Amino acid sequence: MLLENDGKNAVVLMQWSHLATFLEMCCASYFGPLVEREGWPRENLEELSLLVWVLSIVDPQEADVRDTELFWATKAALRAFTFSAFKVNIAMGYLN
Amino acid sequence: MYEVADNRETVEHFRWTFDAQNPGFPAARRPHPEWTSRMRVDEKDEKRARLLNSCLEEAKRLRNLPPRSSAQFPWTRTEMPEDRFSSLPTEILQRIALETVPLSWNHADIRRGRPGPPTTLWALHLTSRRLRDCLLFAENPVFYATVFERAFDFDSVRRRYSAWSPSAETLTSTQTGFGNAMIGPAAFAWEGRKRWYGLHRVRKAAKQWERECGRCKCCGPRPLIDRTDVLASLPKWCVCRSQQGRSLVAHNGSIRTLRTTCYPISGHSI
Repeated sequence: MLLENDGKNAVVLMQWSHLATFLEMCCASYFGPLVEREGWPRENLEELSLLVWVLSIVDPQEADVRDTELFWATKAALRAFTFSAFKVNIAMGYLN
Repeated sequence: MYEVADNRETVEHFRWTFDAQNPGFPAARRPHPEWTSRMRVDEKDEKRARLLNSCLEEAKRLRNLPPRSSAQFPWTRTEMPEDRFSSLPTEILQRIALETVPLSWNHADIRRGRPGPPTTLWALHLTSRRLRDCLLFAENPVFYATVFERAFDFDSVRRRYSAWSPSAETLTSTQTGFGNAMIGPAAFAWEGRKRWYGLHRVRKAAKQWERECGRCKCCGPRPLIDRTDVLASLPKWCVCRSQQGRSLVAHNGSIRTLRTTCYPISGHSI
């Protein structure tokens, strides 16, 4: 559904299933203050790969999210994926 | 075979027969004669009925059932007529049911329609047997493939799933292949069902999270609950202190009990 949108898929995903809120929830649990340990997020985690893949497609902006701090924390955490992209198994997103 | 051309004669015959067979039955409660007009049989059919009954009794004997239990021909139960709605063909009934399914609008500037799962079909399928037969998921894959087309974009699906048989024109075409397991519209009916289940889970999780940890107008940006020290973070959390000792009422109106975790994500330790 994320790969293709002629109008219907985006409406269903964004308006009905509140995917933006869901993404924010996932970001809070991975990059937000809920992360207990210090440092960068764990790698080779299937859910994390899927989350990054979905984030790269949805591409939420600062005005869209509610928690601005969380938005910038996510941005900062995503730098790790930018510079060590070879470590992240993006294919996990397709497999799930 | 059982249709009688002269309706007036049928009505008279029914009235006479019914009153003779049911003495003392109030005439006002007498069933409409057209309901039973099909029950009239001629001699040829009586012969056939006798044969059929003997076969039935033989079958009952073989299956060790009591003879003359319930099944007799011609059936003595008064057949209820099918009303006009139920006697409509299946395609029209399904077309009517399809109109109740929410349509995901193709243009974002049209605000009238709201997308959603086909929940109205469940209510419709509970109304009558005829509608249930028309809307049964396992037996009407073409209809549910049409429901899929109504809710989701299907070009990529068609492209992907018709790779093995390039001649597919629509999702409801039987030429569409879906691997080796499922072929035809059943694949798309099932695909739509899977999608709605998944989307429903996403929606539920998002709504629960918004209810429990969403940003509150009074507290400003969301202070997130800390799992390790729940009680210490209470003042930071969206808890209205006016009802201390009774229950914790969040500002958005929902009464919550304390939970250790508020993120329904499995496989990740919070």
